[in-house]
Amino acid sequence: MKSEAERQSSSSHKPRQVIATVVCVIVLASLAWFWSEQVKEVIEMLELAYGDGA
Amino acid sequence: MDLYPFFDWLDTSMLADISKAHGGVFAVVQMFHLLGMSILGGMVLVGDLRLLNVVMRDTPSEIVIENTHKWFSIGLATMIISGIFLSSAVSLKLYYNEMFWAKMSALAVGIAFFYLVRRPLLSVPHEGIKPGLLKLMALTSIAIWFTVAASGRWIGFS
Repeated sequence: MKSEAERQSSSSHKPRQVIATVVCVIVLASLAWFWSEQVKEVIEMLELAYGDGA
Repeated sequence: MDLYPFFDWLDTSMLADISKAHGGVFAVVQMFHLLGMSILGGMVLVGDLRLLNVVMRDTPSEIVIENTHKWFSIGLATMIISGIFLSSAVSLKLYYNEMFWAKMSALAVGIAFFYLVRRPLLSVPHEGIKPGLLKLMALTSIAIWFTVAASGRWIGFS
């Protein structure tokens, strides 16, 4: 069984955990967007250089 | 905020004179930059892979994380100090380089994430943190520092 102090410590960290989760999701989504844009750019450059393979 | 005046000043500063005129000094500082990057990358991987339960499973994650924090800061400080010197050699070129700003943005996010989110949260016993959140933080941290390193390398090709 959790002690009172442990329960208080756990509950005081709950908002921090929620904030950390939100920050992680935002950062990961931004990085996914950034890298997808870079990959798109590289594919466009390759198509310009070598054609679309058709 | 336009940072052009800073880059213009850096281009004509004493640092730029030294970095442009003395290839040996540039090479030694670059070595320290890579050393700082290795320390930082190593600490990130050790800490985050422990949170993901991939390495050092028999050592409590609190101990692993606690031990990586100090060396992470040393690696970061080494990278920033040496990085300012290295950038002085090509400061105006960097100012117009899109990938340089991507790297700086990722670096700013990485520093903020480490000191404002990851470190405060992981300073308490990890039992009280949801395992899913520990793993999410580890993945986010690896993704951020991968972006810093990869976009930094990309500067050379863009």
